[in-house]
Amino acid sequence: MVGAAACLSSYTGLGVVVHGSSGCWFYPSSLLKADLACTDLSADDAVMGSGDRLRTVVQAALARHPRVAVVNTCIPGIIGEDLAGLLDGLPITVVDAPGFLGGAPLGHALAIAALEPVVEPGVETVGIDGLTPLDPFFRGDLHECERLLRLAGAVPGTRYAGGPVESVRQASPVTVIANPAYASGPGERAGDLLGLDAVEATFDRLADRHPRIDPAPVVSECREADLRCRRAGDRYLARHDPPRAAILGDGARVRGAARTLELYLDADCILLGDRSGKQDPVDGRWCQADDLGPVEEGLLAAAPDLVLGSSFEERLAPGAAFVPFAPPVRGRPRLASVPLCGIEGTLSLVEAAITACSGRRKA
Amino acid sequence: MPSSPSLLPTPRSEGCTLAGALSVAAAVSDGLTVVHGPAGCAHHHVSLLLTTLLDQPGARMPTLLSDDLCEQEVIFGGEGTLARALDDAVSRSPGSIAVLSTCVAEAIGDDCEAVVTRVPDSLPVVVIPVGGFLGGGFLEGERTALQAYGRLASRLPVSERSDEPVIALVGEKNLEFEADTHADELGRLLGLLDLEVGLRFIREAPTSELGLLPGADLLVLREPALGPVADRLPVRPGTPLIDGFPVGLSATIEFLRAVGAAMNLDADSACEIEIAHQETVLARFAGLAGSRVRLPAGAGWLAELADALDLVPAPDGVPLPVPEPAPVGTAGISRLLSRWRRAL
Repeated sequence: MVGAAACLSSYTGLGVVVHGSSGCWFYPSSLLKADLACTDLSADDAVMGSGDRLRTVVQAALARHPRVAVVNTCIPGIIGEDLAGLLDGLPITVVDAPGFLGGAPLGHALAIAALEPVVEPGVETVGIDGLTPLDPFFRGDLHECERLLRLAGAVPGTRYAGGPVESVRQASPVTVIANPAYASGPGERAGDLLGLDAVEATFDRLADRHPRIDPAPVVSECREADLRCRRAGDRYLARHDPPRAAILGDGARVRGAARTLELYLDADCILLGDRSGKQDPVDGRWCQADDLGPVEEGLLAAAPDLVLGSSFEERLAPGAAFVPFAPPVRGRPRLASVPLCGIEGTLSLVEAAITACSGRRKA
Repeated sequence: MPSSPSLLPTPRSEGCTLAGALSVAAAVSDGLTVVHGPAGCAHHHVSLLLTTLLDQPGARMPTLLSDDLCEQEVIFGGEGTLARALDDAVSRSPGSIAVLSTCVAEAIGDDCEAVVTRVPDSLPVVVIPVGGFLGGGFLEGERTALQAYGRLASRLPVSERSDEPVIALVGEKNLEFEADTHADELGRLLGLLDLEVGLRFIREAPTSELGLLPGADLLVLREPALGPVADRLPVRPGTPLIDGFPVGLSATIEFLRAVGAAMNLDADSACEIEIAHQETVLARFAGLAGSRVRLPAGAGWLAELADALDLVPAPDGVPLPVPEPAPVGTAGISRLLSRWRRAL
């Protein structure tokens, strides 16, 4: 539900109603600071039905938005009310995303699917996929993807998620991906932008598809960024041992960050964890990261001196240098739009790791 | 918990019982909490708990398991999943286990009480049947949890206790940033009577310590609304009770008198010391006298404080911040006055 509500709330021209209790509403609302309405279901509604209340709340939301998405939660999902039938005649989109179906990426995907994106083959824009407002790097990644596309002469197109909601009905036929864990849009995927090597490869593929796209400026900037990272890494390694890093977050991001830290800081990435719970059966560095228990055990055993993760991991490894890498990131202001993908994302990651490790040593 | 921006303000906007119950269960320092529901329910509330813990240096991360009810369990029942989670919980050797039900668990009709019988008798276990929003709101969850732990306390072996009387703080607001500050202030006030807090029911107390509750000599409730909870706690008949932490100058003195009366102690000397302390505090803020201020109506302790400082209530006065919940004891007044001085 949270993944779906977050995804939908990032589109303009679309109101969002959480069909559930105020307790269910509170978490996405506190995270997103978005205008989410709620039917505030009570136990009576669960017994007697919630149709009248739902219709009233949706109609109130329609006074402010041309269209409204209704996100279903667990109890209405179990009761099995016919939401589309109850709201017949109103401009609504029903997203059946009760929490028991799965995690935030699934809710995000269900929301995108409910918006029924239609690829328009004649459109020459390049879409941006894998964006969610739940992500601390949401705005930064969006800005970086748009910047790189423009640098290569492309026109940024449909976003999954964000932008005008009507844009999904004339969707870009090809997309670049900010975070593969949330990639849910239609069309061809040119690739992700996690690390400088990935940026170059993805823009090469875009150029193969679109003669108008020129990857040269992007490649040139990649080479410049590579030099800057190497110089910063050399300076760091002249005075310090390489960090022993634990990286926990969405799988592709973890792999990308590990490659980057190994390349520029000669980091020993001793513990890796994918939030989806997947583990690499061959690579023994991977731990089960969808559960804090194994993460805590892994951190205790590995004793990293650098942790990339969420505030949970920060709390579990208080002696290590910490770089915010996955939600939730609590207890620190986050005002700037910092990216994790693209060229600026790579520079920002290397900078943050060096700053955190240097700060820890000074302390 | 604030209400939603729904255009239909209703008394439904009281949050989730699970959050309230977790705020109590997670405060048992050697406890383990099993949330019988979808993983998202546990994630939401742990994330919110974490936010409050970040401001408390060295605060312990509570041990919490979710049995991760998915579509399969919603259709075919989740008792087997809960059983496996309990086996996992037992293997971690906690001091006690709390099982919290969610709205999903209640809707599908799982019998948590039956499943917890698999836990060995030697390990205290408590079922808190909150039922998510189906059981009410945040406060109901908090109170249901306190009552459940009260029942558990009556089954625990009687803790070894010294000859000192046991004064129990009941129902501290564990998500309140100032919770420990308030308890420290009560400790200071009790110290004036050569007493101390013997049990915090429940905040960072190990399971074994909860066994002190039935023998408590005095209960001090966090707020009067906890009266119905206190009525059901397993204490001796006639156990004296103070129905709220003291808020305001005279209430703080009255608190000392009430404790003295409950414990058969002469509180005159303690009251004199505290009155002198209050005068010292007020003297630090004497420069505020004559300021035109605007305060919320209806709070007697605020009017008393304004009067003591010679503030001038006026409709066009400077609006002064008044925290909710209200500050506790003389220390709370002192911190409040610092904020007022900044505002003025």
